Amino acid sequence: MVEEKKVSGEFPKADRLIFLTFLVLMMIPMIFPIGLPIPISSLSREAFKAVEEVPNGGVILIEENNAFGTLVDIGPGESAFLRHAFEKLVTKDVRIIIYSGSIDGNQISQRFLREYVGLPDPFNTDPTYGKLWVHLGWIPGGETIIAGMVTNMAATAPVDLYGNPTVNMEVFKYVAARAPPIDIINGNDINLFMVVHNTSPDAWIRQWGQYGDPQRGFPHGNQIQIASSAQQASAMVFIQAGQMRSIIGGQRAGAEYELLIQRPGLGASTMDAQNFAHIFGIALIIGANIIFWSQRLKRRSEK
Amino acid sequence: MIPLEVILYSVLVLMVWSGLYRVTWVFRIAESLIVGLFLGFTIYNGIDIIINRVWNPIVIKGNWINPLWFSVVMGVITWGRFHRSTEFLSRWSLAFLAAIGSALAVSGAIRAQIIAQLVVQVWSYTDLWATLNQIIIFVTMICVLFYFTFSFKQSGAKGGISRLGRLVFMVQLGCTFGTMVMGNFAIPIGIVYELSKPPAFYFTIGAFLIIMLDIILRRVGIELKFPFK
Repeated sequence: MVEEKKVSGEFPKADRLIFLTFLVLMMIPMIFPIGLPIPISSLSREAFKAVEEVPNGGVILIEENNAFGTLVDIGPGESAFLRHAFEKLVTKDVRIIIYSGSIDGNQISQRFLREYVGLPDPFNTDPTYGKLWVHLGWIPGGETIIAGMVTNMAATAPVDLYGNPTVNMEVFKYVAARAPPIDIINGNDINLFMVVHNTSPDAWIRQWGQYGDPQRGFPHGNQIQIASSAQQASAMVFIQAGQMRSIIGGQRAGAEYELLIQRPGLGASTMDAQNFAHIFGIALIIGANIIFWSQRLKRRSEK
Repeated sequence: MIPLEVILYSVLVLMVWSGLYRVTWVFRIAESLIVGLFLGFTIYNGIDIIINRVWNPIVIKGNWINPLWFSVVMGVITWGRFHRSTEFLSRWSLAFLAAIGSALAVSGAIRAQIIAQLVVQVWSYTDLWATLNQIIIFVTMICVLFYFTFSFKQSGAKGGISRLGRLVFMVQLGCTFGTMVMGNFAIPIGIVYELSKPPAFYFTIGAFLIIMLDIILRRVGIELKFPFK
């Protein structure tokens, strides 16, 4: 038998056992699906309603900040939302402006637009590109850019993904003319704001929270965020205060959105496994607490 | 035809997950590859941005008188930190960035994160729960702000308010942490889903067989070693 050596970076045995058990448990519902029902939350319904309510010829601004690490968590909600938004581009002449605040997000959004929306590669071969929608690529700068996009969009994003000047594009001219000043795109020209991110929701609330769609009863905060489920707790105070409309938090909410647009995908397919994972997580918490308290009691009784 | 992307994805994931069995050269290669790939990807995107947004408008299109020069100069002087005599220059651009970022964040935060939270949205006798919720948000907001105010000694009644603020803050952090842990479960689930579908499934079976073979060989005293140095 080969002698066991301690290797640097080796995971502790308990951790390895937990992860391996977890992976095996996840495989079970994928091989033998249970098909538990997926109730749709009011937050997902509200996000769906927000897209449905965008008027004919309205404008959606999308910022994409997803990362490869959180792709499978946030991805289902994002892909479903993009499908839904681009359906409105066809049925309601809605204009869509997409840009990325992160390197990963730039690649992910392009991949999703090709895979889920069915757009050609490169995008500028699509006849509606530049007329009804545009992808501005990665714009580095964080919160400064978020603010710039609702102050003077053309100055913040002078060129699109392919280096074409944005001021000459039909979609930019159309959006700029929607509200005064007619030659500048600012927050008042946008009907619905959407952001995909895996960080805190604060920055978009700070910079975009005051814009909305007054004609549809949202003088401010007509904003949807697609984020990891961890951000849901932080986002609820902003929803309560009317600074944003809804959040699609994690894979679960993504699955709900997939069902709402009647196109089940990755999110809906993995919900059984999610339920198993949560039961496993709760069992681990209970187990760890029992071990902790029993050890503590044992130490006390020994004293 | 099997897409190269799927092959790379599944092989790399399985190589990394092999660390759960044993840290071997397979795991080490994947570890280095992923770090290297991401670094290369970041550099590629950075260069692409410089070409697309700086080089093309200024040099190719000949717009030599351009406000972009300011950004170029600010960007170049950040490299001043590579030499001790020019190190101070890099602080200028960083200070400029930090000042803009702080100004934007602070001005936005006062309106969006403090004042808007203090405004009670619903005073309704028909929906008492909504009103109660608003009152709780209002009171706890004051308490948390109190906890983070260090201008006076937090003792007596002030200490009580501060402690309540700390408790509320802890509840929020616990809630965020709990959902983050549960949310992180979704990541391996999505990857397992991909690995359980062909063609990635064949690689999963292959990895499983290799691990089985390694277990058996190690039992009889043979170790699979890195094939070349």
